[in-house]
Amino acid sequence: MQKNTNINIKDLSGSEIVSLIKMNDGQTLKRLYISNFRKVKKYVLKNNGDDAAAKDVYQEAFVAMWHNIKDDKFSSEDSSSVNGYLYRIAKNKWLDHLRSARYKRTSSIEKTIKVDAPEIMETDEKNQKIKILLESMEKMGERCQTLLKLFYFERKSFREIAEIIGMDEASARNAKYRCQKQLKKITEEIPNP
Amino acid sequence: MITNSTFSNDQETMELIDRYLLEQLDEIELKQFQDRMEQDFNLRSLVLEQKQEMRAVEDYSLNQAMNSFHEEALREKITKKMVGPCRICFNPDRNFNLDSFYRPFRGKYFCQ
Repeated sequence: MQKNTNINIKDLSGSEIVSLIKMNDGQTLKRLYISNFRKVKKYVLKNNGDDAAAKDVYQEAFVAMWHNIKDDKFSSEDSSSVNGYLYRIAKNKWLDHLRSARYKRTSSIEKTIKVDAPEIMETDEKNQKIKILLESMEKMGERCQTLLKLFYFERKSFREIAEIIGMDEASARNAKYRCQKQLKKITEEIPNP
Repeated sequence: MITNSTFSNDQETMELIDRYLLEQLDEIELKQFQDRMEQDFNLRSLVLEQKQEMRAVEDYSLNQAMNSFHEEALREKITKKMVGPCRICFNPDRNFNLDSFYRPFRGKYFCQ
């Protein structure tokens, strides 16, 4: 997650925002998250939800948006369309929740809500593999988690990682390799349902 | 320069795949790598596997980051509430210099 301290998301074009999101730019992700949360929360609260549900549905939508941008399933010309896209995903997710069987038993509110087609489609197999890998990440030691996070999410170089963790560059390189091997090993040990 | 040696699951290969996934290969290296991928099924599956690992690490990290974003989103709302009362200071019926009136509040309570 790169640091871009002087960023104002409104001054950026849609394609610039998309590029920054693909690079996991911390400031962009944060501004995007903060600037859209209130609108989604308002929608969820207005439609039988509470604060906790608003947080859950918004975070799910945020991850889905991030996935779609990473997979080039979304392209944008202006910044407002990125915000609109995030809002639409959140809204669809909340509508899906309202339509779910469990909810139908306790309420009939969904009858009054306009139905939009869900936008998020990902293969089950890929999701399953990612799910197992996420489970493996949780089982890893904190040092390995940090190292992989710095390398893949924050896109730090081995020199920067070495400075942060307090080791030399070659050791950081070897440690990352060992951590990745460990991640593979833990993943193989988790039974695939 | 990408060598013609057989790709296996070793550190060197892993680092090369990382450079490909993180878009750090130059134009020539990228072309060579893509050519090798086309020919080598083993390399293709290694790239796919490593891409999924990278995505999982990113997912995991994003989920952690979102929790701190959320706290900040809630804090931001409180801050805006605190600066709110200054708006009631504005009274269009009274003839005073608004600029000098607000000057002491600038950066403290006045909405930005």
